[in-house]
Amino acid sequence: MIASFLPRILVIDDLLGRQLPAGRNKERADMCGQFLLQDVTGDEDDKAGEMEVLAPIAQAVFFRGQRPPCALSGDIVENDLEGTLDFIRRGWDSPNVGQPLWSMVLLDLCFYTGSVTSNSFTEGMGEGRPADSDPDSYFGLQLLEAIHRQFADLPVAILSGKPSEPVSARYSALGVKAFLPRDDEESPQNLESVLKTYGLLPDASGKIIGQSLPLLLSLRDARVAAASRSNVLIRGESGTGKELFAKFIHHAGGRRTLVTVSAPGIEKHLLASELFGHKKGAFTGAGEKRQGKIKDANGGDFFVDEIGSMAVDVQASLLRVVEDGVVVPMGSNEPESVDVRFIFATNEDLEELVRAEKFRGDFLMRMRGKLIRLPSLRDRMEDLPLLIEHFVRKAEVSTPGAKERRIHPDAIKRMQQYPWPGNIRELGIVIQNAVEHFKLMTWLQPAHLQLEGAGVPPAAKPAAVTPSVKASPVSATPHPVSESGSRTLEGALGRAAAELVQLLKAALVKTATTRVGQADGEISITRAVALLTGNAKIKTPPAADLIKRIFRLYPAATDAILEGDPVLQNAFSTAQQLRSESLTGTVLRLDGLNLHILPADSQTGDAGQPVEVTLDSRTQIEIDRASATVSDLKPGMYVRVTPSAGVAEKVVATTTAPRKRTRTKISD
Amino acid sequence: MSETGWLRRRAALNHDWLKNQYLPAVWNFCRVLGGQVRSPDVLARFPRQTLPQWEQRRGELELLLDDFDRMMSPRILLGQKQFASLDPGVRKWMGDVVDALWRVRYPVARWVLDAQRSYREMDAMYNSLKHALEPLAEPSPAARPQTLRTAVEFRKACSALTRCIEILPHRVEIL
Repeated sequence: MIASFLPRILVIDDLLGRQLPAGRNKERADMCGQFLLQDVTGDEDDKAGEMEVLAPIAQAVFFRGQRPPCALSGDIVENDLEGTLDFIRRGWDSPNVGQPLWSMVLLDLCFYTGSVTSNSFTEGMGEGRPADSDPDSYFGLQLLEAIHRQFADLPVAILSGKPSEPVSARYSALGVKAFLPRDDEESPQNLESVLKTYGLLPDASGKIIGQSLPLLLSLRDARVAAASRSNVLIRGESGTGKELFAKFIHHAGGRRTLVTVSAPGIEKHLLASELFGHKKGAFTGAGEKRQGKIKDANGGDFFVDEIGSMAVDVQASLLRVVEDGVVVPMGSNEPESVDVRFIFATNEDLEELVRAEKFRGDFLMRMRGKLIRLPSLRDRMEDLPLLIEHFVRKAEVSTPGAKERRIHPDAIKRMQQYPWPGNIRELGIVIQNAVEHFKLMTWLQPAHLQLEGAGVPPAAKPAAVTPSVKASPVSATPHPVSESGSRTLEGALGRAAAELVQLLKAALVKTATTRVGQADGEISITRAVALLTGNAKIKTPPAADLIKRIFRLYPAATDAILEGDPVLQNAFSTAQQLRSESLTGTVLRLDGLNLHILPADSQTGDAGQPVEVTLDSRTQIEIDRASATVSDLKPGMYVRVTPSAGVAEKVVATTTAPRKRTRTKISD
Repeated sequence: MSETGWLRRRAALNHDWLKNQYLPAVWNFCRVLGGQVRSPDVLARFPRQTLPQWEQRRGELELLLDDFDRMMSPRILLGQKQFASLDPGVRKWMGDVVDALWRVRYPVARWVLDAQRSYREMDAMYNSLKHALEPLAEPSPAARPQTLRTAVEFRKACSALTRCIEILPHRVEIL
């Protein structure tokens, strides 16, 4: 879908936008050929097959900007400011499903009004009033002022046969991106260039996904930044894709080399050497001369991630490179020239760091050559369906054995209600986990999503940068204890159990390793219980026991929570497997797949109450260490069933009682 | 005829017809010849209907250029009613002075010469293209590259002429 995307532009022009009662708007067709546009206005029925632009640069919707849109001889044509603004709004505030926003508006200057006569220069056109051609009263400029006021982010270019000079001061003050003369040989090429630079276009490579206005504005700024050699500062919350944008700018700029450094990823005392290089013997351990990473990036781009955590003294040295384009390796006095464009990124409040004297103010000034702000996922929720689709397909590919799945609308709805404090990175992790944990499912369901604190309205959720246990809204989650039971001991037990389960959930989410595509992305019951109990040295078996105890505390309250929560299901099932309690006893009878057992206490040999274990057709059965089937089990056999609860996975039976055990034989 | 009449004639010829209709049609024809646009309709219609519009309107353009320095000279302001009481001899004398100053201050002669030269070049290119298209009802695939080169030259001549006409003043100004 992204690869075949064509920008959608709106052309507001009386001649090109007019509708004709019969036949085609020939001027419009010629203009589409001239500028290589695909007419998608949809107001002409008979043009299919008559003309086809083979490689259009954009789709164009034509609008007259006047009433009536289809004027006949004798009609009076008048300009329609409000109607035109309404039309713009329809493709801007709420475009139809699957339709992109206007990428750009192409605006005419002179609109002919008045009577439509048989002498009118072209069919359906007004014959023109003196004010129409007066630069001081061009309707195009009135429209431009209104667009600038009401749709400030919408890029506008003027396409006109009128001279630009009399109106250039006015239109340039109103944010116009370009003036394209109708008669200029270069105009078709210039339109494509203006559209690529200033138009609101998604990333054609498909690496940055989304078509929302906040994202398109960031992409537009990135394209403009890429076209120059000014340094760039990318700001945005954690997980918004700053590195992806840095790569986008680099590729769009067409330079050969991109060197990336993450400031906190390098030991502080090695950072200067890493960046600037060193001479042999410059410091202890500097055995050989080394070229720094900035020199490695010569002729290209140098991306410094998390610049806010760079030491102030290293900032001072880096400032010299940024200002003067020279590097002085450690241990040297000889500056070396470099041609490097810096792309910095941060999620920190650099101005606050400057006030706290943790960041140099002069460095910040130099960094802000071109500023790109990345929207949080909360600010571009309309992109969520596209992003979900992308991450689901990606997770299916990276998860061996995962089935292709459809995305349930309720799952999308649930994700739309979540505030995504970890932004797109968190979304990717949540979906990866969902696919890994439910890889055989053919639907992505709400129950598959491990959303921390899901169900809390976004407004109530703090905009934390990373998930935290504190963010888990234990008290906000309705628990299944009835109001009538709230004052009873059972009610108190139920509330306590439900709260414990929610605390466990928060601890499981918090301690889950969060790298998509890695095996350690799964939950860890040991880490979760360590966090929950404050005992960092706790071992896995007692952790599993604690989890089982939590769920057995008051099953009436916790079963319902467990049922709808894949994270908790996973934890409980892991705990059970790790601390399985084999059931041993004597077979009383077998009803189909229901095995009635009289359990024997291994210590005393006393018989307990009969229990029923449900087998299924896949249950492994061994009798005297040989494989067997359910029908081979007989009353009176001594059996061990593992695990003890739920569906039995393995039944081991012996035909004779083990020694030193007392067994009770009961006939059928 | 007043200066507004000349301006109106220019708008109708240069803006409404040459820039907004004729030139885009030539562009589209070039796109079709170049294989960027598929349109049997344009291929058939352009040589018969669109291209010959030049022959129908070139006379008007020629006249427009011939009239320019007479209709747009500030001398014309002396014909307005506030100067009606002026002695004809004085009006004539003042008119000559204003006109001479206008021609000194602005490159009027060059404007006119450039526009007339562009006009002649376009006319010549028109004949070349017409000649290239004459043997067939529409250009054969084999002849298209050569026809395209000629059409592009015609289009460039057309653009140059519109610019030469556009550069002529848009109002009569007192010096």
